[in-house]
Amino acid sequence: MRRRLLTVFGLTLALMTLAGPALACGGLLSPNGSVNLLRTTTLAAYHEGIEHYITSFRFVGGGGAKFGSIIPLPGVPTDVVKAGDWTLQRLIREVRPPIPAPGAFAALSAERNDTAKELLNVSIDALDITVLKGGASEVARWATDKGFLLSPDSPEVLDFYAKRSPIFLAARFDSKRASSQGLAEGDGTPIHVIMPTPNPWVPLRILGLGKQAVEPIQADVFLLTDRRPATLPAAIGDTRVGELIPRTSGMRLSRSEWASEQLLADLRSDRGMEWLPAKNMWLTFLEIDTPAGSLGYDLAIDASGAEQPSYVAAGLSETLRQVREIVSGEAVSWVAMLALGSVAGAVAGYLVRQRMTASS
Amino acid sequence: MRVTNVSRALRRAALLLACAAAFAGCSTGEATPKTIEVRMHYSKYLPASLEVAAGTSVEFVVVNEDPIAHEFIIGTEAEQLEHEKGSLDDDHTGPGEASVPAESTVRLSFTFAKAGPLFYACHVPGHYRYGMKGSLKVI
Repeated sequence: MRRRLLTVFGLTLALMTLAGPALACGGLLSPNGSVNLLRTTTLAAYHEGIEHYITSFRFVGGGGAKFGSIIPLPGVPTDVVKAGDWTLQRLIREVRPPIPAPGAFAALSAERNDTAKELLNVSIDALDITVLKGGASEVARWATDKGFLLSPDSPEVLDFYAKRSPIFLAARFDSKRASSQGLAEGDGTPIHVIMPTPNPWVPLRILGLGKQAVEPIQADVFLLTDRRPATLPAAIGDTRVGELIPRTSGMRLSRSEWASEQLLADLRSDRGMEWLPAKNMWLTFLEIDTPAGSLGYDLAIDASGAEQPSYVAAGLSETLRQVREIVSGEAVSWVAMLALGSVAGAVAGYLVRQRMTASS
Repeated sequence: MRVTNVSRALRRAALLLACAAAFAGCSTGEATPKTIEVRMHYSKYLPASLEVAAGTSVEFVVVNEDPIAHEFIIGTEAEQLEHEKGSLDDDHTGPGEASVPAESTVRLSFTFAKAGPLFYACHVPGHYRYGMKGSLKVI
């Protein structure tokens, strides 16, 4: 027991010290637009019909009193709680082991609509979290009423999500409370959203909210599922071949394997992670690195084994419709050309026969 | 007799045409301002370019379909850049300037005195850089 406690303590200390990337998530809503988000890290774990969406908020820059972020959700969460202290960092360590400095931890491994309906309010450290239900207009109105200036791309982005699922999670970082709690600017607060869904899902397009089209978006996305998942769009490195799957160059599949029992044991020892099975979970690690203007999709996941991730969930149904139109348009034009060719052939044959009859 | 009827019919037709032309002249005359509808959707203007004749008075019907506030400000490129620099005293209520609250419609009259290139743009922070700008050619 004592050994386990020491291990946990040591692991926590090491991860807090060595974790490289800053953590944050969601699209940003800010009073002055001067807040910058660094690399984001997310875990979407799915087991027994429940998605466990874990991310962390860390804001850098700015200087105003309030910062906020918004995450679209595929369903209504049953709970939003503070996530464990090292889950995301442990996953990062799994795929990007730090190179230890000499001697440092070397031993450790027309008319306005009504505002959105608030479904759930939770305070976690300096974060005020609200789960909202409403269309793009209602959510925008809610955010505006709370004093946030929405970025010019927000009408389109909120519409992109609200058409598919009218559930959003808004997280506001209260710097005054952070200060009173001894949190320094830049500290991360991890949250754990528990949602029953038919399949896991990770919103990606929202990461570009408020960004210029050329600005880079970098994100680490971890998936833990009961079996190997299929994603849409497919990432570079995805070995599924012979299928017409839209692929993106902005997402790389860097790890796809059964999670080690050691990793699962480490994750299970974190707060709120006891639901995670001790074995037989598939680990997928996806690295997003793309300009904001190219991130026009979400990550649809089929964890059922059917390998049919949803175009709607990926936000690609319009693309699919356009492709089908082009394909059917080409088919129609081919049919028309064949028909025209047949008629022309028949007319030519008739003329030739007439001429032959006349000459004979 | 037949010739007389034909010429009478021709005279009547000519009279009708003259009246029609007179009415047409009234409807496009300078006394009645031209109405142009401009929509704001996903922080873009629709249409993104317009053409009006110099000396024309135009009533713009500016329809903001977005759930966020926008502006419709007419000016030269230099004036747009000045707006973009942002003066805190500028409440954008001058001629050819209007703030358009979320999901609402605003009417704005403006007379284009002389020919030249103009623009209409939104200077809510970040919107101009996002591309919320349209060109207005005064010929």
